Amino acid sequence: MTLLFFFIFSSALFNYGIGLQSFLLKEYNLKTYLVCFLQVLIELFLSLAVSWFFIRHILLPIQLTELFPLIVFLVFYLFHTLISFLVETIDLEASNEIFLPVLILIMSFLHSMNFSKALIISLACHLSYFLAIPILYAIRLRIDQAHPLPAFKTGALVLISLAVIMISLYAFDLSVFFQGVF
Amino acid sequence: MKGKNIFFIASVSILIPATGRLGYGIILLIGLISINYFSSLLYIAFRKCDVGSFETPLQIFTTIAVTIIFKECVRYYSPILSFNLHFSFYLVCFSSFLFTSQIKIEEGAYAVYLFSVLKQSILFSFFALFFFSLREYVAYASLSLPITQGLKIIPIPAVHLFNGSFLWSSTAFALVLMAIILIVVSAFQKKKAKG
Repeated sequence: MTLLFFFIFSSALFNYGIGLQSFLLKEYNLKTYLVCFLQVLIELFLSLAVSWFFIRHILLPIQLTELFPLIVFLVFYLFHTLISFLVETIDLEASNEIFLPVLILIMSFLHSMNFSKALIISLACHLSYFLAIPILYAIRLRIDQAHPLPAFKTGALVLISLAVIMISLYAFDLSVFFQGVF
Repeated sequence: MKGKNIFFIASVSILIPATGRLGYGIILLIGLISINYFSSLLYIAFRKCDVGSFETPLQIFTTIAVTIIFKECVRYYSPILSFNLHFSFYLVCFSSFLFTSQIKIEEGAYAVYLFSVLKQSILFSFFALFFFSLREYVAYASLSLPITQGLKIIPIPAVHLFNGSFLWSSTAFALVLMAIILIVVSAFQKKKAKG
């Protein structure tokens, strides 16, 4: 249920807000997509395990858990550098593919009580983001081929398509992220 | 085009997943401006220290650190606001990083860079305030302000067409609203270019 929830209902929204620019502004090919998917998946799991250990056994006893995003980032960047050094990988853009997994990790820590749940949430978010890329990229290419009016070439039609997908999946309620807002 | 991209990226990062309440939006925008300002100062310091390839990770690290400090300040002011916005602070952090990193620093022109970041942030904040106000008005027929007890909600007479619906405060409709704004702005720009 957690996997489904973060895969469709909430994670999609979480990711789209952050990763939307990559759907609209970036060019993809199959190799980049697959390598990026695997690289981020490995980095995500390694970082999650190590960060969990640090937070549980170091930050929690000294009551400094508020600093956990810094630990998460440092650990993720360490693994990212290590993997990039060992294997020839895609040079990830700092603004997008580095920050996005860090935010996924932060969210999985915020919404989980144990390690397995954190693992499931991060996997669901990762899958949600990477499976959305082909769909939205296809929509973007199709819209480009249709030669829309100049005012509609700004990505507006992709945003509306995304809104339709969200409504059809009943994924428009973000209350999980903002308790007490609605 | 670069400026427009920054605006667009920051918009989709903050405005789409954020709540439909203006009160929360005000806190996020204060956060964005202050985080941008302090991150830019630290970014300039890193440039002067010539940290080389560590520049980007240091920049992200300090942006997260400044965000945590801001989050604690909000918690001191109002724990309810801080609790309700807990994850949104990190979305602000992401937007702030985009603002500070996508505006390039010219060697020696640090004041220009700082001014440029602040100008972009304030311009964006005006746009975002409009966006949040519109969303809250059409969704709840009210405007809200952040106070220590949470939000002070000021009811406003509703236009019958909208009639206050939760759907208008949802992310999907935020996307639709953003799309409409993009179309209108783009159409005006095209008309202006022709004229």
